[in-house]
Amino acid sequence: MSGRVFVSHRTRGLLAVGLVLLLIALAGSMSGALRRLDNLVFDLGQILSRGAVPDDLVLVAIDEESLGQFGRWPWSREIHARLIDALCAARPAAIGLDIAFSEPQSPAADAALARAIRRCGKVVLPLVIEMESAGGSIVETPPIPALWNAAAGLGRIGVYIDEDGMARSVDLNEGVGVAAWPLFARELLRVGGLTPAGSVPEPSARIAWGAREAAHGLAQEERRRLQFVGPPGALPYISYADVIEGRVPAASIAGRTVMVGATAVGLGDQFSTPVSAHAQPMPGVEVQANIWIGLRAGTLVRELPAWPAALLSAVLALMPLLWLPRLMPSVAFFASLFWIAVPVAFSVGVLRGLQWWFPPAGAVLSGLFAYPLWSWRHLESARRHLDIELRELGGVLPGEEQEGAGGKVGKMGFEQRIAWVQAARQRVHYLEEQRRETLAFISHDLRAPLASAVQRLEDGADCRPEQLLPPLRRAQSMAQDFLRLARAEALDRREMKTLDLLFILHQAADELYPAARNRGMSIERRLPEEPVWIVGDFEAIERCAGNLLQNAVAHGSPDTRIVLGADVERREPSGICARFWVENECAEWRPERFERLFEKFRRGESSHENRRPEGAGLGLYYVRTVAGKHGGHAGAERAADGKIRFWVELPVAETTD
Amino acid sequence: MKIAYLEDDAGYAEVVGGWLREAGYDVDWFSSGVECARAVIAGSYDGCLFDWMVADLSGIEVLARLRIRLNQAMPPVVFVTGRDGERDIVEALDAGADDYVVKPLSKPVLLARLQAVLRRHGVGEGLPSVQEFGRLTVDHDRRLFFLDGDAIKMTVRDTDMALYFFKNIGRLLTRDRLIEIVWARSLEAGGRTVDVHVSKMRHRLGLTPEFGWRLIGVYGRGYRLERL
Repeated sequence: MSGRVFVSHRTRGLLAVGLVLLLIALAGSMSGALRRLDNLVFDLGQILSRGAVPDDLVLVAIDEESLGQFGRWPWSREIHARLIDALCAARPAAIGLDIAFSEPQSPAADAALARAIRRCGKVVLPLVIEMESAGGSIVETPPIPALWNAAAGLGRIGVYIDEDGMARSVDLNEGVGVAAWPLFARELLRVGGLTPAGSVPEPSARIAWGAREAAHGLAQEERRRLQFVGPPGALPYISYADVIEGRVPAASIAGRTVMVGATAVGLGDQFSTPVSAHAQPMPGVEVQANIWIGLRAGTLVRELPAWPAALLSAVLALMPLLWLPRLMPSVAFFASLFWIAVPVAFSVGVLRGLQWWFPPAGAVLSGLFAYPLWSWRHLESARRHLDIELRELGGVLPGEEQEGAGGKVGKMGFEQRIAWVQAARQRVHYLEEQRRETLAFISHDLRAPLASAVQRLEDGADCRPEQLLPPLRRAQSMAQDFLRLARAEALDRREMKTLDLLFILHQAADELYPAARNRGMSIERRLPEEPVWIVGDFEAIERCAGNLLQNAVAHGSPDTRIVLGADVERREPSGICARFWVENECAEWRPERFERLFEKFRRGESSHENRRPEGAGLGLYYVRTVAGKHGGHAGAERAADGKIRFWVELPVAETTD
Repeated sequence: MKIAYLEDDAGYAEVVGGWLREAGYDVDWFSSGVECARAVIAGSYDGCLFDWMVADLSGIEVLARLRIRLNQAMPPVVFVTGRDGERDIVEALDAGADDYVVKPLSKPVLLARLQAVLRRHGVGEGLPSVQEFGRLTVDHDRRLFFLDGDAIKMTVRDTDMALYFFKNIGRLLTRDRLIEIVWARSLEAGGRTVDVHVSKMRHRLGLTPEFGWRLIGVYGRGYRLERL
């Protein structure tokens, strides 16, 4: 029964924990509150892994050295024209010029550059989508028409900057009003005759330049996360100045794609990226190069849409429940620690292998909570189980300390519960002790007289009843005493009734009258006339009085008087008590001897010799047990006139009628 | 007098059956509760002696069957029990037993109890109107009690009760029956009041072993006045 209750509680606990973990995971993955944590995981993956540096991409850097040679920026476009000519002469696959030419310079210089670009026929120019400094609206800024017309392609160089200022992703297509513009790197691939790998959707619409004047608002399509080849500087540069000066062999350019851009810090074309360690930013041209590499190799990473991501988070969040119930707490603890790494590893794996980005933070967070939550539920269900067991124990085990405690289990502290279990264990120990005593009693005390009778019968010679009856009677009376004691020990105060103590005492005296008379003794009743009401068990109290009288008859001097008395008096601290006692003559008074008579299996010394003590030696122990069960006491004392007095004190019933 | 005796221990039944036949009873012995119940329902028995522990149908169950089938025509039943716990005896009395004897049986006690319950049909008929018990005289017609020749003054209720006890010497009188007969069911207070009146009777009439009397309370459920 209790086992089933435990299991159902366990199932319920499992469900509750699962629900909470699910909520944590979903809230974590869908609310965006954990985006920083997700990005941290992503960045960590970027830092820890490096891509291959392609050998068909050449970066031409407008570096400090070039600035030193050609003077302050911006340079005359004639210099750029010379660069194009120099590069083109080496027969590259394509040239990307990551320099904005949105304002006209001198007509001669603009014309020179336009000429060079047209002559080369492989030059891609950038388009910038930026916020207007005045008015705040977003505008597309292409190169001046002369250059644009000359160029082989026009691509967007914008990068998506996250809330934390980091450049992690790009939109494949973007534009004001309509996402019409492809990426600069993509145009470069096209011009170079290369095709991007993987899924790279075309812009959803191409609209003529003039028609889009009225449109406003930025449209973005197909966001992709970048996987950087390495930290800034991972891709080698050639200096702009070196190209112009002819210091670069044509072989290192031939057939390759060339990207030209600023790396000098003063020019400001810098981005923070996940791989920018020590706050070292990455030049724009290197970011573009990374985009180019990603597009060509198909390593740009798509983000999982919200619902599949949430579903995956949920599945990962529930996984711990598969193994938590099966493991021991310490193993489960370490397994849980280990588990936190699993969603991260899963996310990195999916990123590397499938180019999908799964934000793992929700699953990680729920993984962090799994063990504490589970432990809490588990502890709770263990406590409940303990409570059920405690209640059962409370019901099974008699005894004052357990009585009524069954209902109070819920209010007990954990320490108290443990103390209670210990008490129950002691109780079990005590019962075990009793069982042993019982066995000893049956195997020795009870068997001895029976064996004696059997032996006489088997002997055959001497089978007279007067020889056989005494041992059999003794055995019977012992068994009787023993059963009575067992009943007394199981007395329940809740089942007791209101009784007239005097009625019981009279009855006990009546019963012992013949035995006393046989020994020449008389029983004097010093009992009040008014009834004395107590709450008790009729049989047990009658036996108590009977035992005391029987002892007096058996151990008292012959031809004397036994006094059976009772009174009611106020005693502190127990309140009003009914007291009855049996007095008889006694040769000697040794308090310690009488005290020991109340112990179990203790037999008094019979006053008359040659007579074996009858009974099991349970008489006074019975009296004390019954008195205790009634909330009273029993004892022996020396009476005024040198007699010995055995007394029993019981609480008086509250008389209501 | 025909007695139905239910006892599944053949050796025991032989001994006790012998005692009963010796005392002049016509005894039918049954070792099965089912058979015993059938026989008692069919035949005319004057009394029953049932053992508690019988394999197929316990004495209590036989008693329950008889009460359903025979109702008012129930012969008196004495229970024989090896268990003398209060609970067991109260159970037997509640089931409708008229009295009980505890094993090991004593021949005189058994015969006295049986005789007392078998007298039930003729209450008062065989009794003299004046009973003499040594120093105590009970005059039923005049509703008077004399102790050493002195009349004892008692209330009407106490007199009713005492006369009822003296008409039923040796018989177990349950408290419920006393309430029914003496208080005519009008007693609300229940047990305590009966205890008080019985104690008073013991005191007034000197019903103690010194004068050959024993007044026994059976776990507060009934009383028996015995003449020693």
